[in-house]
Amino acid sequence: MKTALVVEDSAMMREFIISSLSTFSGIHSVEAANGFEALKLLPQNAFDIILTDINMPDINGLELLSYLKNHPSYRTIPVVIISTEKSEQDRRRGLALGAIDYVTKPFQPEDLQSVIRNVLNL
Amino acid sequence: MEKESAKRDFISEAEEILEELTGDIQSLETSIRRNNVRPDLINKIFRQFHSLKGISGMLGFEKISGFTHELENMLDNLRLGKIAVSQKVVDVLFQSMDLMHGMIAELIDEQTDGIDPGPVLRKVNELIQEEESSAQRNTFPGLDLDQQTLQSLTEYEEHRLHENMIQGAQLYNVRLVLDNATFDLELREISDLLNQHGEVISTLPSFEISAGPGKMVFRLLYGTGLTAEAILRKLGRTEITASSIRKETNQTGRVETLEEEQEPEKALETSLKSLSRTVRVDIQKLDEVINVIGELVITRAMVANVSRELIAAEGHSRLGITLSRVAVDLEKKLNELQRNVIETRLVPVGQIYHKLGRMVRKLSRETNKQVDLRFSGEDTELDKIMIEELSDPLMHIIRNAIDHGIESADERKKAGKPDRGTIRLSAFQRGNNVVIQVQDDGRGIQIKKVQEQARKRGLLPADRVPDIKECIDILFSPGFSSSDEVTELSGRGVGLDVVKKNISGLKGFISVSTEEGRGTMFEITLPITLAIIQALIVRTGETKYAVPMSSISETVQIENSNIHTVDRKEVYCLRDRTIPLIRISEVFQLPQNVRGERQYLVIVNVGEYSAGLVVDELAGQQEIVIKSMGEKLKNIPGIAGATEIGESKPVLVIDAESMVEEATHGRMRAG
Repeated sequence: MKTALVVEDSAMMREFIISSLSTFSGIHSVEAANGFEALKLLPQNAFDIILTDINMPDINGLELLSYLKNHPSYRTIPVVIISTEKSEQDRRRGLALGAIDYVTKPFQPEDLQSVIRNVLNL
Repeated sequence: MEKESAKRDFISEAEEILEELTGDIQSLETSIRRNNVRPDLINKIFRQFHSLKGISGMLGFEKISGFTHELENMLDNLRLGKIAVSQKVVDVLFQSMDLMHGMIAELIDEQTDGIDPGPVLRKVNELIQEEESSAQRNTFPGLDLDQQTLQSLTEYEEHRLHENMIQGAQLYNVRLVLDNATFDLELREISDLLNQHGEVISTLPSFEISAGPGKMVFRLLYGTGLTAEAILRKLGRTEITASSIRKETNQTGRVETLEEEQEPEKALETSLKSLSRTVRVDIQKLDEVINVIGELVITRAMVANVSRELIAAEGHSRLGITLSRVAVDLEKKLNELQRNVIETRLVPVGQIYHKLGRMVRKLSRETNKQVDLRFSGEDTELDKIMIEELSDPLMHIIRNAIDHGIESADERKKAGKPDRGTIRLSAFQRGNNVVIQVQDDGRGIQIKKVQEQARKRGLLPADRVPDIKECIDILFSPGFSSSDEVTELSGRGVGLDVVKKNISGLKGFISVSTEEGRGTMFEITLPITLAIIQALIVRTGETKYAVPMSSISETVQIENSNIHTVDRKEVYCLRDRTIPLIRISEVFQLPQNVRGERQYLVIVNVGEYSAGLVVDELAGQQEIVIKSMGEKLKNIPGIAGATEIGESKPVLVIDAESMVEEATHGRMRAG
């Protein structure tokens, strides 16, 4: 069983992502409505993958990503950015900071699923 | 997600977002007028439309996603400073909101071709075309910024950093070490505080071994007009450091003239102006100030007393006259001070309107009744505390109106009314009070139904046929609910009696007028503030009391020939009305004092009920601060609290509401 952390401030979008992940029987999703919640969940769980939105209040996805990639315990967790097609620059930055892949909103469940399949070798 | 339920979820989330957006766009409009537009507000509006676009896109609602996509583009340019924030933008946003509401309605009715977003889209595109050529801004040569921070900036944050530099703000790296368990709350509090004096541009959590276990380090990029010391002072904490990241600008070796030196100062001044026009204050702090003012009012009364005594003892001596002038002056200045402090506590009633609007939409969906909520008087101001306490009672009344008042569309049609019911919420000032009315155009209070229910619950003898006034009293009595079965809406075990209690807790009162078939109106009357009130000081026997002016309609000298006894109760005939009398000594079971030759009647009103308080002396009008008498004495009927009036002993403040209740309802029970 693999555990995924979904960080997204829109409840509806979060649900959409989680339901997209639910097609994989071996993935259990944990959700965070913002970066703070994510930071609190990190020490309590061993995540196999993190999916994060970029434009969020409090802490944005890039800041979260930067923290993860500079932290000895979380450095190796693959992070997938969920961005908008509009923010090309944000996406490039995310990849530069160490994100493994990205999905562009709006996407269909299959788009996300194929990225996850690649990242987790499912 | 199943499709129908996904659609339902989308509609309710979209309506919620639109509701919030309406408030945000209104705030944006106001801030444009006041020239203090907050960038994070624009970013928030962007994020909301962004959510709408994302979700509608994924669910295949193409019309909405197509439209919000264009809007998102425009807002993206706006938040990145590529187009200017203007009234034109606000107008387009409002038009877009109307369109969004229309498109959501289409979605509900499963139509697709009623609404044409074309005209608004053209305006949106015009705005996008206005894009100002913006230079590439990837580097910040003037800043001592580490790579990690720089790389973690989103495009928007980068733009905000630029704006802060252009405006001449100081830029700091604020480092915070916070507890793992509470960092989120603390950080939000700190950011709020910092945002009052500038702008937190980015918040970077960072891993540092040196912070120790159980600790979390955050680095904030902060633009402000403050110095590093002032920042630390504002935050008042020790585990924070703030260091400037602006490199010295006069490294070029150029000799600067005085005028040139003034330039950045000027820029700094404007940036300060635009960033911190308002200060958020804990309401408790204001309460403390009010308390001190209250005590000063008493001190002033003492000074006035001394001056009177001095004049009485020594005639109009220079000292006596000067002292009395000082007292008058003091009073004027204190009044001014009081007014100013009270004004800072006042907020527009419109603040709760949004919340109510959302509720009405939700309820009308749940009950399948079409209801429009109309507002007026959003700008009417009321004490912040009152506004907060008011939202539950208002919600309850509106819930009742939808549940019991507004009829189904069929029923309405039969009655010759428009399909959609209307609830009007209006607020306005009446003298020293604020009146809030909730008016529906439903079926009105049905005497028969109330009568039936009241009998069932043993609130009414079987042979008694109540009139409408009595029906309304029954509605407000504990344990009454007019619906046969407890509905999900109103039947939450809480009745109108609680609403009434809440309102009287705010020193206000509630009244109802209704017309069968036409609708019902609840009217809530509240004092503007609870902090300081005008009171009439009265004396009966040896004891003085304070009666809030807001509940007094008039005072008259008693003529004994007008006192009669009805059902063993004293009443007074005042012009063409019969008013029950209240003798304070009887209410509080004090020894009867000898009745003075002359007595007065203080007529107190609660809604349409009145009663007359019999007193021996009217000892003048004064501003008072009501203080609670502690837990044990809190609930004594007839007493609202205690206050000081500049004499040796505190006096009790009469709670007119419960006195009148006793007088009028005691009488009704006797009948």
